[in-house]
Amino acid sequence: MAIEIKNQTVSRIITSLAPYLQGKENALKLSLLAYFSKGHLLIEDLPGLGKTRLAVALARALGLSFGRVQCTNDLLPSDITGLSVFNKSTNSFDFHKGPIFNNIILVDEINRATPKTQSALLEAMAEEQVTIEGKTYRLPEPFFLIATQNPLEHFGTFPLPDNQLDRFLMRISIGYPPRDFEKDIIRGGSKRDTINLISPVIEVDDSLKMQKEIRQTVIISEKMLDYIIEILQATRNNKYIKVGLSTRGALALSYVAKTSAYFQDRDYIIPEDIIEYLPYTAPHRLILHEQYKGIDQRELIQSILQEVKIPL
Amino acid sequence: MKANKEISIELILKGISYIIAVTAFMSVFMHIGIVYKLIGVFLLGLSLSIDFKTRIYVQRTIINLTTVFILFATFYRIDLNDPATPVIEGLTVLLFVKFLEEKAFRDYMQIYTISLFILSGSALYNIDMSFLAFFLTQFFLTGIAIVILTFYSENKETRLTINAITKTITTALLIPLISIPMLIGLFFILPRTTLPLFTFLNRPEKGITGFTDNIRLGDVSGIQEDASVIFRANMPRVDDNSLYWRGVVLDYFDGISWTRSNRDVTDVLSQRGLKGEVIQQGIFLEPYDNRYLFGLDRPVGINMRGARFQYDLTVMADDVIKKRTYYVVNSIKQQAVETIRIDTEVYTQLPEISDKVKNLSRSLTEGKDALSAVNSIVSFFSEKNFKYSLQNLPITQNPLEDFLFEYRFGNCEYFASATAVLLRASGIPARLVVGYRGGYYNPIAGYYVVTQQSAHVWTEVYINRHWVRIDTTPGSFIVGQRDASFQQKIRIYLDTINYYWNQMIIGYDFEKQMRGFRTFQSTIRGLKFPSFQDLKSFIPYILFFIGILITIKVIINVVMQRKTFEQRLIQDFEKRLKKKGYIRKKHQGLRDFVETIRDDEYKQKVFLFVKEVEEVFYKDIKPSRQHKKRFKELLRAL
Repeated sequence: MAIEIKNQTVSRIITSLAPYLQGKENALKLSLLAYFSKGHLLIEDLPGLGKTRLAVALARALGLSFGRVQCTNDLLPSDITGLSVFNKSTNSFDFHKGPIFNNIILVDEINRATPKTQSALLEAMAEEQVTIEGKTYRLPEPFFLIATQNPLEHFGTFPLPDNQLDRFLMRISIGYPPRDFEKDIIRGGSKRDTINLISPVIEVDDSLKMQKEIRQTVIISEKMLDYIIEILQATRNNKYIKVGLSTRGALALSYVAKTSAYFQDRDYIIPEDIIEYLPYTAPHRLILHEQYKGIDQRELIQSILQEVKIPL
Repeated sequence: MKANKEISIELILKGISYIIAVTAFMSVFMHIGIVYKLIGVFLLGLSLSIDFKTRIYVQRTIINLTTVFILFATFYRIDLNDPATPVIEGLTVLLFVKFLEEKAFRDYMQIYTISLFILSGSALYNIDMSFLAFFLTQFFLTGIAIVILTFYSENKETRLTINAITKTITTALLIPLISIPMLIGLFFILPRTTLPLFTFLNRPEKGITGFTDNIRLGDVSGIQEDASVIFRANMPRVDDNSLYWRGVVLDYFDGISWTRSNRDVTDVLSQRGLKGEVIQQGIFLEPYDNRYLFGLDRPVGINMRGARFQYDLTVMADDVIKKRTYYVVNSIKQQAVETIRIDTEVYTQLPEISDKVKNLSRSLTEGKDALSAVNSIVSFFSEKNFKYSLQNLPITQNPLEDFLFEYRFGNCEYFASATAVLLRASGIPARLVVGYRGGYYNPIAGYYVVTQQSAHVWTEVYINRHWVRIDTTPGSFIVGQRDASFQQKIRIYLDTINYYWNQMIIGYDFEKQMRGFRTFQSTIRGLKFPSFQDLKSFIPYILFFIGILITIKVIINVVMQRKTFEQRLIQDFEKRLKKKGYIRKKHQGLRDFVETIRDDEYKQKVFLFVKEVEEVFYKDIKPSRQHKKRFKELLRAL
């Protein structure tokens, strides 16, 4: 589905990144949406489709620092958060920040990390702070976490518990690039180096300001509130679904809708803002009944949407 | 390659529907007026161009109004000499008008039904081989069309490959084929519907046990009482003593049996004699093995085609009563009817009878005038203790003599017969009347049920220029005077249903219906359009009427709808776009809806409206007067 961007700043970011992310425009837009909604992103995809590339490019264009964690089952929480090392000269412990103290952090194959490490990560996501040895450290602002997981591999993985999935604002997948783009990529070789050439399009302060503006200025009318509630109810009363959308899920819908409206230069949300992004914001939050596990959650969401009347 | 070509199901459906309609049209083409031929062809062409080219359908409201007009016009034109043609012409126009609108499931069904009516109508004109061809075409095509129609109603966009279509049609053909064996079954029954189907299948036993026009004495020893109904008489209640239902007069005695002599009755009734209180009875007569029509004694008039009224007050139908028959008979309940002249020879006829009987007659009547002679014969039966019995009747060569002198018991036949013989032996004219006596009254529906066991014979004697009814049979047997048992009562009440069925089906009065129809038609034809002068005086009424309409409309708006401005706006918007062929789904956002519009220019216009509406709707702004004005303006542009 084509997402039309009208906001000038956002479209500038997209235009500047487009040459480096051929065929991934949709994923780029969704990532920006998640970023400006102050949420975190879960990319569920096969390896080698440009997840890292997307994250790095995003960091460059937004003028943000970038960190990366490759998860393995022996990864410790301190490998992410950092640890204190004794400094002989000062005779004290110095805190060495881990990769999480970056603006954008890519957590690769998050389902390979042990639950302990996962929960440390997720705490950071939720609280925007980490506590190490009794001391609390604020994470930098903005803070945007992109986690990836390979949906096909199950051996030696620790699937994220459902309640932790709920903390991701969106779950997307990148998918294979179109034929022509793929040909171009092969022809030109990997352009990873060229990504470093991308110069920031906006300042850090600007994106912080925009994040704030979105939360504060975009209006959700009574009608739209009702609409969101209707959707919640529909997911909760669906016969295939054991646990429907939570209140946190509802908040996520509203945040994404607000950002969507902002991207289109509107200061109010319309049903389309919800409808368009529901396939990314809702499916990973639903827990289906055991016997219906095979059902495609995205299709389920689409069918639920067909039951809910547009508020007019 | 070809087999994979897909065809829209709508196209197939339309094609078949047109063939069905055209078949129907062709079947009556030769029989309808030239104007209707032209209208039919014109409408057919118009609807073809609408369906396959322009796709600009006529509005449903207009179609419906036209339909009403056509029906009205058809009704106006109906002529009782040729009622079929206007109806078929009307149906033909109706059929093609139906094609002009955008057709939904029910419209297709209506088209098939009307086509069927037209085809059936064509059978009124001719039913040669061409009818069979038209019929088979419709028969199979309608079967197929209905199957395809169900596909179509599921999803209008369905496209089928040639293979799939062939398969569907083959399957659809099976359905009418299966019904053919049933049709064959019906074929054997239907052509015989001149008789009611029910009677044909289950012809009731002939009710001969009760009534007969041949009274034979002495050949049976017992008579079974038969409780089956012979007739029902719709009438007010009368006293039990006058419940004599006259059937046939028997005037010839051959010594054993009484029959009706085959002669013209020459009795001359006095006009005065037939006057009195008239009791009208509506009689539902069950089929039985004879042609006599019953009526309360004495019947003076009957309305039934072919019924013959004899001067001895015997009424005969023109044929044996083979099915339930309804007639109305008028009677005066008089015991004596003045008759100016009779054929005395006929009514005093006697065969050779024994001296014993002659002597008895003589001893009873010697030296008396006619009246006292009759009295003494009548009282002879009660004085000598004659008894009524249905059992152990004498089977002898001389039943009458044995009854009179030996047994002294018998059924009504013996009593009546003996009375008549004794009278005739003394030269007093007498005759036998066979009919029924008594009956159960059903107070709910107001009618008498008369059963076969009430069959009775009595005597009539001619004294002083009067035929007088005398009944020498002891009265105890009379049905109706006996109290009805509980079971019988229930039977009477249950019989009510039977009675009403008869009344509606047998008593169905075609003339009455036609009269009603004529009245209705003349009322319609009698409608005069007011002249201008008249109109003036109507103005206040018209204004008043319009005022009421407006008030109702307002009330409906306020009470029934109670829609917000927003709802009404969107409703209006959707109505306008629907005309252009765009229908918003309930779960479709306005912008997504706009995206479905193909015409870019129009899309821009719609988008402008949607955008401005959204700005008000989704920002919790209460629409101001300006807003409303602006919205309406934008809407008008759509």
